[in-house]
Amino acid sequence: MFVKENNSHIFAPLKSREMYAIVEIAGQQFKVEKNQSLFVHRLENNAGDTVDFTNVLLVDNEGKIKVGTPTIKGASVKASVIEHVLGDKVLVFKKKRRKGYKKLNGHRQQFSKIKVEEISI
Amino acid sequence: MPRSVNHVASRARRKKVLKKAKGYFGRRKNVWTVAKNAVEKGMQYAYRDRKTKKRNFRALWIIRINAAARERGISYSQFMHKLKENNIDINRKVLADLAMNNPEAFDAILKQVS
Repeated sequence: MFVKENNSHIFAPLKSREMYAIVEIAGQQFKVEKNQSLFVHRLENNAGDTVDFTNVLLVDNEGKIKVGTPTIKGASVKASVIEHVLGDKVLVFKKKRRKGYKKLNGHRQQFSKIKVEEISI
Repeated sequence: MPRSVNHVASRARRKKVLKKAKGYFGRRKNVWTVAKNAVEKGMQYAYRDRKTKKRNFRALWIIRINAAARERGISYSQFMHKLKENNIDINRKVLADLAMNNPEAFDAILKQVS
């Protein structure tokens, strides 16, 4: 259900000369296109909500590139929250030799799947 | 009183570890004493390397940014210094991505700072 490399899309060349934006979402920066869906750190919003991300650092509008210092005023990326999911389980194992210390915890990171609806400048 | 034995429970406990040792080399995959150590060590390395992964990726991004910057006649450190001076907050992950996949965006950033 969940893609292992959460950021794999970011290294894939984008399809065409379409508009894209660099936007900060929940502490991470992403390169997003319209209609792209991606996994970000868990957001506070409910599934189905639309969210406006105003920390837009760069916009490429079919060749017209705007670089923000640090953000572009008035620009925003509108996205809808599709669902909240848990990442793959990670086994956190710690052990100290000769000290009788051994610990095994499971962890599943929370992510939100969002879909980019609109990039506006 | 009947004698109580623990065969079933210990078998299940070992099976759980041996399952994780599937695909290991030689006796590590089917000898309990060896497999147990191998699995534990493997999980310790996994814990450590989830942290080193972050450093490794940052180093890779820096290499990529440096390559792209030097193609345009400026060193990595000079470039990053100028970004900071100009209050541009794009991180290394994205910069490396732009350098690879959107060189024109990288050019635009450089033009803005020089």
